[in-house]
Amino acid sequence: MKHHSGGFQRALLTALGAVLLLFLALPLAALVLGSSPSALGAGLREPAVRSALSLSLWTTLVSLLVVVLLGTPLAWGLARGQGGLNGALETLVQLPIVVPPAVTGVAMLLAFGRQGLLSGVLYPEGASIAFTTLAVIFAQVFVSAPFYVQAAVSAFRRIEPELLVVARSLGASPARLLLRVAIPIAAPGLLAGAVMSWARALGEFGATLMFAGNLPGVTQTLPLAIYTALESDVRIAQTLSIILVVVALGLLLLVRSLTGKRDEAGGVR
Amino acid sequence: MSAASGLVCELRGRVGELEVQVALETSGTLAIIGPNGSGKSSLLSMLLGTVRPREGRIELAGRTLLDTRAGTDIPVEQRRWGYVPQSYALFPHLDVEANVAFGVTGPLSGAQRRNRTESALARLGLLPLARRRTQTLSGGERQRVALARALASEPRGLLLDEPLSALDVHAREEVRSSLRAFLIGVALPTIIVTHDAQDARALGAEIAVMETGRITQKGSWKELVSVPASGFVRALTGSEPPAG
Repeated sequence: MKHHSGGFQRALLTALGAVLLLFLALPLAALVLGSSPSALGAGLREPAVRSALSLSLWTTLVSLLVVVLLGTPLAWGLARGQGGLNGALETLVQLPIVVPPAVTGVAMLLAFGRQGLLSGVLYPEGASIAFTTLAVIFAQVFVSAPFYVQAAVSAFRRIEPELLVVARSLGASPARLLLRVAIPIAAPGLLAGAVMSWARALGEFGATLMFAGNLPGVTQTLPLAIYTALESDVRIAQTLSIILVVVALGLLLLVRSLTGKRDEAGGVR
Repeated sequence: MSAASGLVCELRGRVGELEVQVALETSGTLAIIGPNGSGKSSLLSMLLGTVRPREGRIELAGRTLLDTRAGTDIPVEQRRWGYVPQSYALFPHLDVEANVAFGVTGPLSGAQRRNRTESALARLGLLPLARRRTQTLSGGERQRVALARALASEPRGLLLDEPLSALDVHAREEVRSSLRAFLIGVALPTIIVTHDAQDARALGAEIAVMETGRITQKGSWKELVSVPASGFVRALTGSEPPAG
């Protein structure tokens, strides 16, 4: 009797897990199954697809550059810092991850829009960066920076503290400490963070739509192009979606291999 | 040797629950021995400059590193200690030679830099290992890289934290005697922190016993054995309590 009920419980738990697994896999399967290589090729030749693809590619690369350039010193400061202010700043940096995209869109408009907080400061009154390619980059930086900074902070914190003390005792200046010791040692974690951040920027939709609009060739990135194509031609939406899924899968595998290596390296001392 | 070439320090400070209060003077090798939590690591951190004492003075080779009354506090980067931590903390992304070259900085030509690096490598018998990654080295070899790295930066004194504890019993004996020869050769004021009586005896010309933040006895091994000042020292040296 006891034996019986144990088997039943195991089966029930497996079934519950399988339901979710199926639910997660089904839409992705539908996306790929309904397509063919020839349809994919035809979709890629569409001018709208090509322009969205190139716009997404170059804006996300610029965003990534900004995030890494400004995010690395910030993460280093947060990793080395202590105390209440440090904790508050870390929470602030993570906030964009949980803020709904619509809220981000409104916030960006209120900060950088025509009547925004910085109107007359960053640019003459009445002018605005809203609904320009620059706005696309702003939205991407806002939503993707936390992923990089968070990963970089924890990568920096994993460095054995004595390595930094020894480097300092050998006369290393703050810049040398960061560039010659901390960044090379934390490199796999930094790279994984950059990849996650890039993936997030590539998928950015809501804030871009509200703050940058949906102008083909100017602000229409891949996710916006998918949204637009859905109304006219499902096959184009499908082609673009498959591109994004393949890229996302590739990035995910890259992150997993990077973090896997880091764990191995962490085991050797 | 005169005090001008050695280390003179007087430090008071609280680290966690422990009040550390120490006055030391040495121009040779001084081994500080004490149980866990006696404050010997805190003392090392104060000398190194990563922990600031409440008040005190440190003078190394005639140069004032710290004087709380005069408001002097030279930062870690400029104290010129050759520091070898317990884990050796070799830079994992650099090979042996690049580890040793790390502290060779300043207004030097490329050739001068290479010379200094090479002579430190040669001094510790590391030339054949110059291109090796540090992960592939044995414990004794790693210690030699850490010593060469410290030496190449032309330090005014050495701070060694538990220099032999990362080694197995096997390697320990051999590394201990080569470390002893190295320390005599470089003739720098050296502080060695250890909890092992045999290491203190072999490496330190002088031994200071530290208990609950204070130096309770200081002298040669012989002096410690003949007149142990506390139960801890008696247990350490294995000397019998005086008869009667």
